[in-house]
Parts: sequence; C-alpha cells; structure tokens
Amino acid sequence: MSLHGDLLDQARHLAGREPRRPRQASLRRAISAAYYAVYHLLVAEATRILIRDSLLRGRFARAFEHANLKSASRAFANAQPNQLSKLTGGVPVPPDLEIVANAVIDLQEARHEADYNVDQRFSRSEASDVIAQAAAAFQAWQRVRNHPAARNYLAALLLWKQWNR
Amino acid sequence: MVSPDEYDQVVMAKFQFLKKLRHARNLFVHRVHVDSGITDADAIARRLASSPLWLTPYVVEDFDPAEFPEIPDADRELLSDAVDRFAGIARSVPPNQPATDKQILDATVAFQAILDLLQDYIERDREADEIRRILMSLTFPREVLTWDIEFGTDSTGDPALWLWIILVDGAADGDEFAVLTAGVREQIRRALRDARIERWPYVRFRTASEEQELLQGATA
Repeated sequence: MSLHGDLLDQARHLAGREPRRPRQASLRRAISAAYYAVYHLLVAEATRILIRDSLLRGRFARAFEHANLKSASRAFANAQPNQLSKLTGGVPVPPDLEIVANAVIDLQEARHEADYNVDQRFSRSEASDVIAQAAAAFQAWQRVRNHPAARNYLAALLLWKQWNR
Repeated sequence: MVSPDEYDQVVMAKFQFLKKLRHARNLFVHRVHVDSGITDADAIARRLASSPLWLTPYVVEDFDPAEFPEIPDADRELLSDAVDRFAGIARSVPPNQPATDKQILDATVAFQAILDLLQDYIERDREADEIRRILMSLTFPREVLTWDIEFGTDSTGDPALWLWIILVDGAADGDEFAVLTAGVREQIRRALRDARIERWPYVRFRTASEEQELLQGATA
C-alpha cells in the first residue's frame, strides 16, 4: 500500500486504541498521522504529475513546505472570481477541490496543536473527526484529480511562494 | 510582600478562574436552534445533557476574592456570595445525575450574577459579537447541544477562531458522525464567508461526556 494510505490506516488504528480511556499520546499521534496522510497524498500526486523522471521525484518531494500548502489551500478553498485567472486559468474551483483544500488547512492546524500544544487535551471524537476529514479529502481527491484546476492546485502547493513574490 | 513564585501562582489562579468562567459562559449562553421535529422529550433530554457542562464546581474552584482588589468592596462581596451559591448548588448535584429544574434555575441566577459583576473581564469586541450573532442565528442539527468559541491567531500567525461544537453523547458513534461534522463545518464556514468574516474557522467536535471529562481532567 502507499505511504499515504498506510498513514491513514495508522491514524484510525491509533484513534481506536484504549477503548475506554484513550491516551493523549495515541490521539495526538492519530491526528498528526491524519494530516501527514493528506500531505503525502498530495505530494505524491504533485511529483507524479509534475516530474517526469521518477528517480527525481523523491528529491522534489522534499521541496514542499507546509506554509506553501496552507497558503495555496486558502486561496483555492475560497477562490474569488477575480482570482480565478491567476489560480486556475479561469476555470472555477470544483467543490471536491475545495474539500481537499479546506482539509489541508484544518488538518495542518490540528497537527500543529497535537504535536506542540501540551496544554490542550484531545478527545476521541476530535481525533475521529480529523480522520474523517482526511478520509473525505482522499475520496474528494480521487474524484477531482484529473480536473485542470486540480493540476494547478498541485503546482501551487509547490510554487506558491515563488508565484507571489 | 509576596515572592515572585507566590505572585505567579496568584496570577495563574486568577487567569485559570477567568478562563474557566469564559468557557462556562460560552456553553451557558450559546443555546442553539435545532432542526424542527424535536419532541418535548428531546428538548428535556438536551437541557439535562447540557446543564452539567457549565453547572460544575470546577468552574469556580480557582476563585479567590483577594485576587480582585480592584473591584469595589461591595461588589466583591456580591461576587463572593454569588460564587458560593453557585458552587454550593453545583456540589449538590449528584455525580452522574442530571440537575433538577430548581438547581438549574438557582444556578442560573447565581451564574448570571457572576457574569454581570465580571463583565469587564470577559472579552467583548465588535467582531466577536458579530460572529456570535451569526452563529446563534444558525439552525443546527439536533445532535448539537451548545458551542464554545475562542479567538486568536493560528500557528502561522493568521487571524482565526476555534469553535468547539458540543454534541449529545452517542452522536460520535457510527458512520453518520462524519456526515454530521462535515455538514456543520460547511454550514459554519459558509455563514462566516457570506458575512465576509476573514478569520479562518477551525471547527472541532466533542461529545458532552468528553467535554466534562476534559474539564475535570484539566483540573486534576
């Protein structure tokens, strides 16, 4: 199975451990794994489409930055009509791509809190919701991945900062 | 004269008290409109399920009147009295049992008195009021009991708000949970977007039991 698929499975496994009183460590790692499942799904898709030489894909994969993912996703999640030509060449952003972009933003923040905010406590429902968002992003991506706007989105994930200098 | 350590403890206790008070205030104030078709029995069950979230001694356990020397003496006495009444009622509610109508009514009066006396400490600004107004105008699915909200900046420094949606127990079980959370999240996102609110809404979900556990666990 793929790395992103394994990470989503791992998130589900961790969130379901300790049926009575889940450990905070399990829930935190579940949330983190859910974000990285979506992150690696998009990075794998981007490098597959943008980089023809498969031997170079791993190197390009390391060039993606979380901040770029968030900034690009915010633009695609709520694209205004006057931004469409820049974002997609004028094509409207399909609802499934909005689902993916929204999930990237939400899951990235949840991952940051889960990994670094020791004051915050998490519940199993919160972790389950994060995983459900990741799973919904997987499904939405499968439906939209061949859309022209989706290809622009993948390029934006890598190049957002450079495009907006 | 207090030592720096003692000073830190005092400041932290006051901070904790006000933080819990804001949290309880939100759960208390944010009554939600729910889908039509709800029965009287549902309404009673919802009220009983939500009351323990704010009617708990944990809300006022860090209160110390000496930490509020800036409040006039008469108001401080009223505040202490209201806190004592609230704590007494909250302690009289048996664990794992819903509060009675009289307990909820009496606690509401005491809690409202606390909020009135400390209104200057509970942040209010125009944007927050506008966002509350928008959210309170929404009609949520019947699984939603109440909600809490915090404002701040997210991990990348962007203005954001965090919404904790409190659900009835059992709502997080099964496949319908994902449908429920996706629907509520989209409903909130759309409402804020239509109102041109630029803060990003991070919407999180907990059941009533989880909310209680987390509140108690945070103070243990």
